[in-house]
Order: sequence, then structure tokens, then C-alpha cells
Amino acid sequence: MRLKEYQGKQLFNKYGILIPHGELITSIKPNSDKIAKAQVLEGKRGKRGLIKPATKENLTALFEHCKEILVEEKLTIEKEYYLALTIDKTEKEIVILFSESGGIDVEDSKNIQNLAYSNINKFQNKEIIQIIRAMHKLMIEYNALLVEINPLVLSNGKLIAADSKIILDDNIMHPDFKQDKTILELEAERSGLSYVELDGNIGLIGNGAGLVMATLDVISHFGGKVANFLDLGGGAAVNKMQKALEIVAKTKPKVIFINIFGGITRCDDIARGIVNQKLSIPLVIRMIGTSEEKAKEILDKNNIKSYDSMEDCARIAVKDANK
Amino acid sequence: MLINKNTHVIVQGIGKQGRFHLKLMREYGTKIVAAVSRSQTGELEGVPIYPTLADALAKHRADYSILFIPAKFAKEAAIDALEHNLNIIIITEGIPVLDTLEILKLAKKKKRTVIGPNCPGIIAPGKSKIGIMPAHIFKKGSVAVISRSGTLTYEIVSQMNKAGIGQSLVVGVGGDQLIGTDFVDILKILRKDTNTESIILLGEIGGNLEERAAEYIIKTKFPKKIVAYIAGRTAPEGKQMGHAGAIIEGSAGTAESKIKSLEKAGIKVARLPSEVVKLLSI
Repeated sequence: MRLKEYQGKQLFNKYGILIPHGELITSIKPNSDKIAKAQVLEGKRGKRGLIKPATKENLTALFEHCKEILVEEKLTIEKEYYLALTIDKTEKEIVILFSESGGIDVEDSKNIQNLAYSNINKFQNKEIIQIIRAMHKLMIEYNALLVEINPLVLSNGKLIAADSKIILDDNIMHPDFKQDKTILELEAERSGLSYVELDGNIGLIGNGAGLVMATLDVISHFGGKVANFLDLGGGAAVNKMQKALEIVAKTKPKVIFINIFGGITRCDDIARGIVNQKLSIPLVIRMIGTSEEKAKEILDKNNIKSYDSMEDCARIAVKDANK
Repeated sequence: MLINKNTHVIVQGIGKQGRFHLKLMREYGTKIVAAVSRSQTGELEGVPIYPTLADALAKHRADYSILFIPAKFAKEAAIDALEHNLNIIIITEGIPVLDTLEILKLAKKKKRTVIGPNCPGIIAPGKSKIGIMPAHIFKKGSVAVISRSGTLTYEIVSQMNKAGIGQSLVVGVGGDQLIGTDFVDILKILRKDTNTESIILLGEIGGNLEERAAEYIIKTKFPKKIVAYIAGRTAPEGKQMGHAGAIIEGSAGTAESKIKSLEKAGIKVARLPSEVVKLLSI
């Protein structure tokens, strides 16, 4: 989960890292000589015109893109650094990323130093060391995967975090921060389903993230558009399958493609879920693997057809959706 | 090779999943020597249960431990196994990344193998299975499969079987953001493995495992044929697609970047799952 700039700065403040004086606003304010920063998660906001002088006109324009704007004092900039803590997935350790030239586009720059956190004392500047220690404490206590300050600004002799980018681990609950999820995505999350809303007309339910992603690609390959990504996870039972169908049906797709390769998941459980959750939306079902025969029996009794090949099913689903 | 007929295995955690898969692994012929449980005693399917790993290892030799421990307690169990010099396979999904980091740091220090977390495990068909994959779809052969996803592996393996192609080794490295053994580690083993003639790489969006594999293949002039498939070509940016590791951030982690890197390394990348087997036979 990625935090918005102001949320990250609240954490910086809590850990003693200096931030500019500012205020979060949710409605238009009179002209000021401050800077207005749209609170959205996309990067490169400066280039996208989402950071502007805080005039009434600019605020009005920015509120068309977002609901929250951070209005901050202008800093006098003597120097800009890039500073981040993250996990090096190859070396399996926390690393400090540092550059003497911060600011936009630094991610693409090659002159970022990469230093293991254990070598923190190689930095000469005591203030920077202090900031890195604070970032590390924040990282551990909030289970962050990335803590980035870009730029860290030297202003009137003080180091100030002019921006923040913090990504928290989704394996931990973070009740302090609201997530940008749709109502259906939250409903799915509560049921232990992994669900992402998309904008097509073919509903999709499958087991296992890789298989569902592959199914999404196959449907696109045959010219279809998928309404959602839904991964049942491993070992889904009857009620979980019913819930999945209920959620997917709510977006009113023209057809629902169910793609199950039974391993831990038993096909007969899935079949029972399908039969129990009576829907008026046509289903295209591909089901093989564990307890496949039992599943076919259950579906046959209810006059529901199933197939063996996922690509055949994708073709049928695309055809049905385009009817 | 990673595992063989004589690989001795301990099962840590025998809740519903652990019990079920202990039975299935034993049926497959895996040498399960002991199970560890805080709450259960006696035997399970003829396998003795011990209250601690230390107790089990006082009586049995083991190479690997497979963990069916809930995410909250997985770190403690994994560290215990590594402290006892075992290699570990972590099936558990949802372990905090910083916990995984601690596990992997210790594994590095101890020079032990960690597969996972959030993985289906390893199978060497006809020899041993340390994992949760449905055994009946695998068949002995000379093609290795390395994958970030369980069910996608099953999909490809079942298509291999239809085409009469068997497997030498199948490794699910796991769907988390931070994992132990990665594609490069397995490729290093497979390059010298005389049972393996060619390799299927099943990647997905997010992270840079595929890009690093491509670099390794180019740098070391990898001598065996590799074909690949990348899931998530049509996934939207910034959305986590089921696996914790499957997320595109900016231009990093896209399927296009991965496909480009692999093709630069001379690897044919299938556009559809059904093309994987075809590419293998070209």
C-alpha cells in the first residue's frame, strides 16, 4: 500500500524528520504565495502539472484531479539530495540509496549510491545519518518496504523532506491509513478473495494468481475485455466460490468465465458453489484437476456444460460477450 | 540436484493443510522422517510427531523442512529450522516482508536453501515431492520448469503431458515480493544437471527475477534451451494481481520489459500458454 505525500510526511514528522509547514485542504481557498500539491499516488506530479502555485485558479483546476491538496510554504533551496531506504531483493538486506542530486526523474539517474544499511557510518554528514536512522526506525515500526525522500532539501542550513514516498507491506493491517479501493474490492478482501475491478464485460474467476493473469491475457488475445481479476486463492470451498460469483455478478458482465485447475482446490467444491449460486448470467466453465469427475457429475445434473481447454473457453466467452 | 529419493524431510506444522499434504507427500514416496507440532503428539500416517524441531533432530537426520505454519508464526519456525542447518520450503502465504528478510539473512549466513515463501514447493517426478502440487499430473522426463505461480505451472505441465513431454524438476519459487531461491539460483543448478535437457521459465509481472535471469543467461552463455511465458501482459499499472509480488510500478515490472529482456537473451517467449509446448519442440 502506497501512502499519499501528506500521510508520509505525517510519519516523517512523528520520527523527527523536518517537513515544510503546510496544510491539507479539501476545498478551494483564497490566493496565497504557497505551493499547491495534488495528493494523488501517481509519480512525476511536477511534469503532469499537479504541483502549482496556490492561486485560486490553480486550486480549482487541481481539485478536478483530486480530493485533497497539500498547500505548503515555498522553500529556499540551497541543495537537493535523493535519499531512500528499501530492501535489496538480491542481497537480502536493507539498503540506503543516496544521490547528491535529488529532484525529479532521479529514479532514472545512474549516479545513485547503493549502500547496505549496516554501513551507515560511511556517511560524513551527521544530520543525514540522523535522518537515515529515523527512516530506518519508521521502516521497521510501520513495516514499510520503501521510505523515500526526493528531494531532501537543504534550506537555510536545515535538511527538510520536501516530498515523501512510502510503501507499506500489505501483509500487515494498517488501520491508520485509508486505501483507495472500490466497495467491491473491499467486500472481496473481507471474504479472502483477491479482486481487482477492470473495465471490460467478461467476468473472470480462477484459482491461483498466475493462472488468472494468464487467463486475462488469453481473453485479450482473442479480442475480449475482462471486467475483473478474481483469484479464489488455494483451497477455496463452496461458500467462497458462491461469494466470488456474487461479487463478479454485481458488475453485470455479459458472461462469466470460470477457470479452475484443481490442486489444493477441489473441483467438486467449485461445482457446488456454482450450482448453489443461481445466476442469470451465462457461464463458461473450464475445470480440470482434483475431483474433476465428481464436479462434472454435479454440473451435468444441473445441465451446466464444462470444458477442458482454457483457450477454447476464452474463445467462447469472447464470442458470447460480443453477441 | 536439489532433491532426490534420499532427501529426508520434516514437516513443521500439521494443521489441516500440513496433515493433508504430509499424507500425499508420503504416498508419492517422499521420505518424511518426522513432523513437528506444539499441540499434537503420537504419530501421523506412521510418522512420529515431536513437540520441537530439536527433539525430532535428536532422533532423525533431515535435509529439508517444509513449513505449513501460519504467517504470524512462520518467522520463528523458519529461523528454528535454519538454526538447525535445515534447508526450508515455506508454503505459507502472507508472511510480512521484513520477517522474510530476517529469514533470508540467516539463510545466507548459514548457506542454506530457502524456497518460497508463498510457493507450491519442489517436485522431482518419480523421485520426491516436497510441496503441495497435485502429483498425478507430473511425469518423469528431461524438461525442468521454474515458476512463480502454482496453478499456472499445473496448466503448463498438463499440456506437456498431453504432448508426451515429462519433467526432470519442477520448482515453484513463490509469488511474494521477496523470496529465497530465485530463477538464477535454479538455473545455476540446472546448467550442470545431466537429467535436464531444456527449461521452461514461467514468469509474471512485478519485480525483476526474469530480467536478472536473462542477464545471467547472456553473461554465462547458458548452454541449454529455455522457453518462457510471462503472465500479466494485460494487467493494469499499480494494481496488485493476486500475488504480493505481481504489481507494476511505473515502467518497472511490466511484462513487456521482461519479454524484451528474455528475447534479448535468445529465449523464445510464448504469447499464449498453449504455445509453450510448441516452442519447446521447435
